[in-house]
Amino acid sequence: MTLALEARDLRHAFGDVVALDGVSVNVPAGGAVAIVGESGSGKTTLLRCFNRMVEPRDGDVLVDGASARSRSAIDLRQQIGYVQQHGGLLPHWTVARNVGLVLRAMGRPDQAAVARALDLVGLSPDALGGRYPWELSGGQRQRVALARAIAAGPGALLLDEPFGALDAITRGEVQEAFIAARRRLGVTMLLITHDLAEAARVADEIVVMRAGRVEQRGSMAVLRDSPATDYVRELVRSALAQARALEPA
Amino acid sequence: MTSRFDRHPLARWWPLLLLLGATAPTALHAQSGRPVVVASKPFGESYLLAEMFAQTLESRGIAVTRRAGLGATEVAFSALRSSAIDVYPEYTGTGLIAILRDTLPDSLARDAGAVYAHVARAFQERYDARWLPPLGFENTYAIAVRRETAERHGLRTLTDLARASGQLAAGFTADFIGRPDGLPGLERAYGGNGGMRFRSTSPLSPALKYQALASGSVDVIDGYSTDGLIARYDLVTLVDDRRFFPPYEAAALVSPRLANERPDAIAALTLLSGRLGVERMRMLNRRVEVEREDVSNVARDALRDILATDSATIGARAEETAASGVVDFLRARRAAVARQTLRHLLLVIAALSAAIVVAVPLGLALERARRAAEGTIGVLGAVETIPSIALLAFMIPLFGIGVVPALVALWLYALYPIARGTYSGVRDADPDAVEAAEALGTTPAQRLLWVRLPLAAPVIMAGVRTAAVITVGAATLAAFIGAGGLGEPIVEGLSLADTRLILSGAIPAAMLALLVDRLLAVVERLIMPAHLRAPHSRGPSSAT
Repeated sequence: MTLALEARDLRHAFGDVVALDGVSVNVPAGGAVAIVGESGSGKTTLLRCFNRMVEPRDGDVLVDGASARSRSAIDLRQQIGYVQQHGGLLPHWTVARNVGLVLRAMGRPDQAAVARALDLVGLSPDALGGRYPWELSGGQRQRVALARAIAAGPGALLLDEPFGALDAITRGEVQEAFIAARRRLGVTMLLITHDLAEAARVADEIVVMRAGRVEQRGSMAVLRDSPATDYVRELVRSALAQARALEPA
Repeated sequence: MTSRFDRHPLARWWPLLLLLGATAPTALHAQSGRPVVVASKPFGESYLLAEMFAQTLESRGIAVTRRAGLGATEVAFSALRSSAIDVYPEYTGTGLIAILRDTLPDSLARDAGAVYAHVARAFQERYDARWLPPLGFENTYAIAVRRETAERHGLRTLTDLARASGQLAAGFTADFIGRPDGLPGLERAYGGNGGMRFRSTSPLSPALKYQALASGSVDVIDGYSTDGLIARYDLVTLVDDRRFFPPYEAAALVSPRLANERPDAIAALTLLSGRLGVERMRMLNRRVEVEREDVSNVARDALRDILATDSATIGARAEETAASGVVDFLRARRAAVARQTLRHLLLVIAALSAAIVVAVPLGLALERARRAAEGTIGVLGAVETIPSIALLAFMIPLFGIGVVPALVALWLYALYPIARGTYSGVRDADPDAVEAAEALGTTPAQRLLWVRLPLAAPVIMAGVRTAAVITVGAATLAAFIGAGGLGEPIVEGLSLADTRLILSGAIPAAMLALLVDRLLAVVERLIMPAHLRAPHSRGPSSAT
């Protein structure tokens, strides 16, 4: 079942450092939203509120219309896939075992579901299922991490810079794999990135965050044509300049 | 068919619990029908007398357990008082001054009969322990110097020694330096006219003092008047002209349990009373200390003479080993070495397993409560700095002597490396993997079993291996409190200055340490996480 995600006026701080200063964001069921911002903008904190890895000091987190706190963190997390920048694969487990982690945690191991998940991210279960993470390339590792996140059939995916550590060509291929897999599953997705172009490519809508606040929300076209703040304007300008540098003079 | 119990986590530990149960209570409390526990203090004459007690009892069909070489007077007596041991050779003067801490009027204090009577009555009243009639010789402290020193300084008496003491270096046993009837009393008794003030005073091991004196490292030592080595090194013993040292009549000191419940054993032991003259004792000591004869053979020969009527009931001589080299000596002692090695190994396995059972969960708990972690681990680390012999001594008031206090002490030593390894291993386990597992909805128990413990296994195992090697080493000292093991020949060898005997414990102990470490290395390989076990390189094998 696809889940809608919503955050209402979230406030959180780590000690004296404010991470979220009144943030509201919603991702409709089946939608794909990217959060763009610099390090320290609060984007990872926001993401982690949805699977209760962070409990915000104030505000409401709604999953499928109900408060995230109304069910156990473990239940919730098993319904929401998660991929982090460095994959976080268990180094001592094979690819197949890694992909089966959530199913096993739920007490219903399922080899067929593991194989389907690997297929979906473009990896051969037969060729790679028995390998260990260190025998894979960086791109393969991120695909395995995605397969692990989707193997138990979650209603939403939280992706924390999943392409951040990849070289440019691999990055493009893995993005394609992610986009394809999400379309096939129709699952809600919230992606974090600091790269506006990547956000535009993967998501329907973009949320720009800065210093714990939302600067603007909208499609790439809206951000480009009517930036709400100087920061958004500068962000768009810099991304366009980079793209233009590649065009023939 | 597997029962519920088989799958219980504790099930795997049952063999160990049984082992603990079987080896632990070498009976701290009275229990009729158990073997008579014969003990000694760690010096040659005490070993010899205890062996004579043991063989005498055995010749009367009484089963005996031997606990030779218990730490010192305090260890031996506190064990006897609680009936953890039943009999050991003691000296009336030691009983008077070191145990009772009584002072008698001078007229009585110099009278051997009066001292015996006082000590026997006082022990009966205060401790319910019994002194059997004296064996027939005195073994008092004998302050000894080299003949050359005696001639150069004109030393004949302790008064002469006090006069010359400023030019002489003394080497005394730690026991003598600390006892009221040792150096402190001696200095007081001969304190006039500048007094007994040596140029220097060093503590010396009983095993080494005669060699130190003979080689000129020190000029004055404390010996015992019956020591066989006094004649060997041609030493001069100085006359106690102020009659400071009280009479030290040797006798069997008997536990309350034995005194009250085993008249047969008391009757057997009393056969030796009055039968050992000082000349005979000096000769027997010489055979043990100078000629390196086996203690049990010397005891057997002595008993043949003393208990002539039933020599047949005294066992056959052990194979004579006095003249052979270390290898032959080890071969001749192989049965004893095997028994002591097995005992040693059991001590190590029991202590180490108990430490793993406690320290691994403790390390895990500390990782959850990091605020308390460094402090707690620091306390365990501080235990590590307590010298083994001191830690063993602390155990005696709590657990008596024997296997239990030794196990507790070894267990304490093993906790630190294992708890430290578990704590830091789990704390530092691949944080990305641990976080991903948490964010994907695993329970804390699943994360522990699937991720953290497997990833921490190499660090935990390193801690276990360290603990194992420490335990094998520390267990040699457990012999001081009667736990047996390979420390037994080491302690006895040190007391008798017998290098071969020391090596017969030290070599197997060293080999055992290596073996245990190797074995655990194999275990470590077996539980090593797959990604560390694999022989391949860790780099990516191909591009996407």
